[in-house]
Amino acid sequence: MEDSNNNASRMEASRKLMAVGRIILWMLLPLMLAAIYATFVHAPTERIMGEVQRLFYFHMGSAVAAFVSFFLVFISGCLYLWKRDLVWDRLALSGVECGVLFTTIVLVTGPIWARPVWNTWLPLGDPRVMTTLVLWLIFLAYLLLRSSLADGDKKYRICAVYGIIGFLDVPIVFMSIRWWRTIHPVLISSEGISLDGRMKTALFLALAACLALLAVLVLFRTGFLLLKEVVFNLGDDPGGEY
Amino acid sequence: MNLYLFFGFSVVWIALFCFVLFLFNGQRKLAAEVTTLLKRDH
Repeated sequence: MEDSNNNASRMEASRKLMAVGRIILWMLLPLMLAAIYATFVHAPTERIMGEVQRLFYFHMGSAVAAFVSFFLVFISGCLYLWKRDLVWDRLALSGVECGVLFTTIVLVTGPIWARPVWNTWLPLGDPRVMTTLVLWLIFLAYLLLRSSLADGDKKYRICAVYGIIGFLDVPIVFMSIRWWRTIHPVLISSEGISLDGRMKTALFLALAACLALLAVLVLFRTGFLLLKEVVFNLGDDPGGEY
Repeated sequence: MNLYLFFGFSVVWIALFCFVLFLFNGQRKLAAEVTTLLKRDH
């Protein structure tokens, strides 16, 4: 009886997540096109760095989306430890997967931009590069850890604690360019964002597009994982979240 | 040059959007099937 109640509530949660995801997905279609237009056409060419600077808009958008993903992992981990509800565990897993995806985009666009500007692909001595690389590895390890443990409350508790501790690197990544000597530019200071007006428009559109894409991916993935759990409970699937 | 980049990335985005929509529709069909199974079990 408890199982069928659980199944019904998970189905309901899955359906709601997918419905919200579908609305955001349709909003994302014009938003992403506007962000691409602003990046390549509306924003002016930077005087010193030239065309390669256009990578910046989606580089920063992806970085913010990755930070939000890992914050979601932190919140979901805390809520799982408190409520012991599987929805929070699955939300944390979706957050990690999306966070790793967006951090990968940051780590790919960064070196492409760095090569002509800093004359190096990956300056490993730079605190921002190093802490971002560590953040990426921490959450890749989360996925490895998760796949190596047997399903059950113990696994979900370990992953929740790991996600909470892993999140501690996010403020370090953010503050690294303020705490240590670095060649990475500091964009946000106490005087605001130091950018041309049209560049700001492109940046905010790219930020909005990346965050909307993150929301769509997290909602669909969580909805799918809950659906999979229901199928597992029905006895038609070997189980597990992958 | 920048207009070409704009059109190129727009095409990539629309293709990605169609792919996500395709996956989403599959997920929705699966949800409908599971709902039918749940009702049958009751």
